[in-house]
Amino acid sequence: MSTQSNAPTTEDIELRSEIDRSLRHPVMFFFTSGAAWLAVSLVLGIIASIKTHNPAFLGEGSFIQYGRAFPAHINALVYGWGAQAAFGVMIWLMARLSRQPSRNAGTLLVAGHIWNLGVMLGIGGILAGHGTGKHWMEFPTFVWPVLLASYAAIAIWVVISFRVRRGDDEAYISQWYILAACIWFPWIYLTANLYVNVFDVHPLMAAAINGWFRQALVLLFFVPIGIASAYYITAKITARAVYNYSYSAGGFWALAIIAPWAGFHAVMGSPIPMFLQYTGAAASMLAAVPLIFAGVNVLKTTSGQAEVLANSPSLRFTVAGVFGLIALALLGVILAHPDAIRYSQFSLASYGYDVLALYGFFSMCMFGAIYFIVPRVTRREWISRRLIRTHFWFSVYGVLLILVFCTLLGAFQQGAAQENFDQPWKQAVKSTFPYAVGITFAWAAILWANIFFFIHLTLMWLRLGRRSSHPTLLRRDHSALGPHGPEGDIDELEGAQA
Amino acid sequence: MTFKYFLIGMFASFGLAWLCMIAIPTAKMASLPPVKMSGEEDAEYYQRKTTGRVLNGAQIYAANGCYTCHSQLIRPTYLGSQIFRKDFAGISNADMDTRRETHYDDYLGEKYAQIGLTRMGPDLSNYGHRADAYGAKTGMSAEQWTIAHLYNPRNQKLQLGEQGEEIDMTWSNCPAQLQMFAEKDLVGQGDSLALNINTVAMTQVVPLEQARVLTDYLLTLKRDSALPESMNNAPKNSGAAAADAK
Repeated sequence: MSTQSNAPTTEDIELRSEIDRSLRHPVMFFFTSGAAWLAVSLVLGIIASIKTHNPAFLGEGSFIQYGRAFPAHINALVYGWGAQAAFGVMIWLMARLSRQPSRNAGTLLVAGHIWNLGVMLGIGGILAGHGTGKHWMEFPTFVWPVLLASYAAIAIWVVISFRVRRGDDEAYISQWYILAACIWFPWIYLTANLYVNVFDVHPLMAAAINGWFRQALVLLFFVPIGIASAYYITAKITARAVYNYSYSAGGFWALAIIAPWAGFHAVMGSPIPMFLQYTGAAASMLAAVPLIFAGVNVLKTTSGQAEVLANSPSLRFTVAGVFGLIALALLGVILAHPDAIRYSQFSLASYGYDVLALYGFFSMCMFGAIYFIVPRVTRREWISRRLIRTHFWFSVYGVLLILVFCTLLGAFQQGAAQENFDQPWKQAVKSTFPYAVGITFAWAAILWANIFFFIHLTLMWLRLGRRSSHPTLLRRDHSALGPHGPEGDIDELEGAQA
Repeated sequence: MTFKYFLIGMFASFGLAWLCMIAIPTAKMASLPPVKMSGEEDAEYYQRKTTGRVLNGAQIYAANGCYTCHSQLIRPTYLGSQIFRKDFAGISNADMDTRRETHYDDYLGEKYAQIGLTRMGPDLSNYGHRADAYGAKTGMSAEQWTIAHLYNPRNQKLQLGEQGEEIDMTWSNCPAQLQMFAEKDLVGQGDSLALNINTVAMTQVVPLEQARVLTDYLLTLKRDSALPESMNNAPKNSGAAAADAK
């Protein structure tokens, strides 16, 4: 990367703006439709959560009953928001790091629309009562080939832009992570769907592969994309090289070697071969090593940069996401431990783990990337730092509440009550009640944060952002020029600088 | 790291795990030996037949998200004590003890083992036995009891305790499946599965096809058939010993 120490040349600036321009529409399409799905998912999540402590909420027996709203909520979060945010970051980051403008914005847009259509049909199918009952794969079975095909049309350009990259041969660590995620996703998705939906396998193996699929999708798709973005954003904003390059390469290969074995502990105690259950648990615990490697490496890169951290929305979200990554690693160790599984396996814990992975870590990193990328591709600055601050703090508090209520306290209290076999089942349900209420509050905070994020992002896509060459920072001090520096046309200001 | 070595590393690391964790175990699990009814050498094999109606019921179970709150797995004792919880793992009384952990044979014939995500609701591995018991206590058939429970899981009248007293059920957070019921005109003697609730004159609330199929599936959940290879909780000759005591 040429940006770590030297001031960029005019050629660099021109190339970058050419790349940004070439990807404006696909990237903004993925981010904005992803944010819309995030809002949908959060509304469904709140409805599902309220129904766990107040089942008559919004009427009973309708299409938003718990058993349909909850799967719809998770699937919208994974495929509607998570995957699309990942696509946007993947294509932009790979184009920037490979220094190649995209020539396929049209294809990407068409594929993006098909992906959205697939997700819409899937969510509609779940709510209409056609879910398949396989967690994270609840979309009616005709949807997965559609999603896989549109994924292929998106990811192929990421791989191609890596192959035709300009400049030095040594690729940046983020590129390896993105490239790996590009290859892992179809392998995981195809394996899971073929084995669970198509082949005639033992019903228990189908359930076990479903558990593996969920863990693999987190560790081998969302984690690498999140880490790739975190490495890039921190190095870029602090204008430093990554703290230790061997750590990052080691962390990558450790993830590649450990993570594919993880996940079968989801069906621990079921009559499948023992080695599958315990290898799955051991790998899920060991996966903490590459996650912490990457997390510490990113945090070390930002050390001593408190000023930048306080000012930059991208860096602040990214660092919060990296703390989420470390929490995820530790939580993986706790929840996958065979002694804990008796309490955590059938409690709220696995939901808390999913939320921490998808929101506390992955989404926070994606928000960081989005706050960085969107001003560059739209050539407008974010409108309001207050909106960004609201988004940040409500997200952080929401995730912390879910982590505490859902995964640590709630899960183990619920598990312990279930284990207490002398007491009636009512005890187990009652002990969950306060945590269920707490989860509703947490989701409400996160929804509040993201409604503003969605509006902010939509305004940016409509190019209603500030025309200024000064980024929107989170600092509070007032200057004579106003909080954002001089106003004016960004092209003119940049031209004057160059 | 060049692209070539990267690809080799990727395929080696993922491929090995994929082979060892997915491909080979799945192939092995596809050819499990059939299960004998007892430990004797010439014992007969279990011949499980799962009817299409039960599979349809399992589909309705999945589509309405029952698995998000109900598990169908009795874990071994080193992973939890649900085997001791009343009515979870089988029938346990003075005469018999059929409790056992789940066996791979239990799900055979189904498309997907609904192990479940959480236990916000109770385990359903032996729901069929429980429905029989509840039905007997409340003077209904197991089918009627289940349908009434699907209509209103918080119905106090459906739960009678040991001495016939009502048990508080208002705490249940199970969703009512109202979309599976309809109010229809009373014809002839009426539907034997119609709900015992107040309606407009000459009408009754009857379960639709979905509720009937789901109920039939739920009532097949009796996963306590004696298997020689799973742990037997009953003391030796428990049936005979109990008979002697009388």
